[in-house]
Amino acid sequence: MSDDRGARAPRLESGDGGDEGMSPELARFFDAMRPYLAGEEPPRRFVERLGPSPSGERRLSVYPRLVALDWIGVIDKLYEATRYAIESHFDGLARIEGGKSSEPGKSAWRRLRAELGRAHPPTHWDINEYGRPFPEWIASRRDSGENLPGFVDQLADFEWLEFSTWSAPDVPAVAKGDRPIVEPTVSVRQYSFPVPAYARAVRRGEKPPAPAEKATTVVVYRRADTLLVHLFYPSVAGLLVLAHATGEVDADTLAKAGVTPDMRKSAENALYEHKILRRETTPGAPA
Amino acid sequence: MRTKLQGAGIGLRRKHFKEILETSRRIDWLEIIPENYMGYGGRPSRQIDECRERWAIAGHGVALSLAGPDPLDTDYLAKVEAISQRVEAPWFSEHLSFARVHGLQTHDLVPLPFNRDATRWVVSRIRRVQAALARPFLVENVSFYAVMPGSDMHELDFLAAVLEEADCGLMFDVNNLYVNSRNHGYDPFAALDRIPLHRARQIHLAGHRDEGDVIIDDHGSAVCEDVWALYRETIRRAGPIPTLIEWDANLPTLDRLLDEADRARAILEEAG
Repeated sequence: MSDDRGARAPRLESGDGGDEGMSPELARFFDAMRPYLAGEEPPRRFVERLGPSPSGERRLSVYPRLVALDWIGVIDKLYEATRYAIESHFDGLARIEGGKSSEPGKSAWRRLRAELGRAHPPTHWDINEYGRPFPEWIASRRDSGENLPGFVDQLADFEWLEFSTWSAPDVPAVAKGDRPIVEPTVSVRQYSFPVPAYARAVRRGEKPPAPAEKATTVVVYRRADTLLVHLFYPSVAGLLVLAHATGEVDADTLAKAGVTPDMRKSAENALYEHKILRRETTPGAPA
Repeated sequence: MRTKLQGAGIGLRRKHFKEILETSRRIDWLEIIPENYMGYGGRPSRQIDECRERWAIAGHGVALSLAGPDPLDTDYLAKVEAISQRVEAPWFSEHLSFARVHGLQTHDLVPLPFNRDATRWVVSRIRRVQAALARPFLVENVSFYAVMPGSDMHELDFLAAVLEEADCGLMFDVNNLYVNSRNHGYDPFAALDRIPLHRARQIHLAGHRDEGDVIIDDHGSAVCEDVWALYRETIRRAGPIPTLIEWDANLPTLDRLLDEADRARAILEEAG
């Protein structure tokens, strides 16, 4: 991911990296373009800066509209369930800053989407990267007074995790000593709402009610055979066995936590069965 | 056995990943958008490996920002070259436009003013891209909705000057020529005289959306009859150039997409 998100890049100097120098007129054109394309300035201001377009202001306004639609489109796709949740469950969503104002869920989603664009405009060539800061950002909106219940930012976190697991680079599964081999895409999340089931229901076209609070621990991983993202809800012993396999806890901790050899065997078998643990390394991976 | 890059191809899109490997219908070749695969493992990565075994693949970028003010992203170009090598792409194409300005990635294709300053600027950038790639670089004529302030050339003269001075190939988008002719009021058939077709290595065909006062190149529908007629005339003049059906929004079934490719192939075969 680019680490200059939201930052203004330094102005390109003439002859930068071998390019033929940019004329002052062209530099002025690009300077005017950024706020215009980001929707920060209306086409009228753009014309004031650069002079009229033979095509007219109405045609000029097509560009900020198309740019905004591109940004909106990726958020709607990546966060389909979060969008559904905000649009469906929060009619009358109140903004605390405004005191008593309220707005319907669909309007709230549109507003939040636009605010994201202003807070974190895209800076990466991969359009999906525009979705990366959304879970943290939506959580910060709630913390700063937006009337969003807890499950929405957990839901957004899950949706990003699912996408990033599906698309994660292929990393070889390697053996670490005598520990079981762990599928490299494994992540574990602990949520206070059952957001994985909710997200999957929305994707199936269902219209689930807002979830009630329920502690949910889920393993999210991409199976090496199907390349699909799978979910696994582990037992406490299963979670500890997985943590041991990844090297986060040692065998003593496992024993002290009351995981008997039989429990460990049973938990390992379940993890093998679901292909979270693998019996073989990736072909060609270091031993 | 792997196909050659000739005839009528389609863009590889996620929705068709499974179906494309199972269809018995003819597919001559594929085009990928490298950005959809660069840095991605899992299904996208496996998909291009499975597809490259069967079909020739060309790469068509959308995020290079060829004409933009920000420094060319050499890491991005290295990734494009790596994936091009992996699929043995005969060329890489990008748009005569910019998509990044002072750190803001627009994810839309924005035209330059059509003038000599801009010509010099983009030609110098094309040369650097050519130097970074181990394969021919094609530049695509873009659709545009407003002539930018500062323009004093016709878009077609601008295109011809850029291609000539940079000595690069043309990715000729027939739909873009048609969209521009409607939006800016000229005869697209007469305009073909001004397109350097001798530089064209690949053609794009796509659908567009009529919003009344402007035609938007949205790749969201079938190729319209007017564009098919313009395409037929292009092929009559230039010969059978590999042609791709670009369909990105409102993506149809694979069969529907292949119907469009079949139609393009029939026109190519008429030209011998």
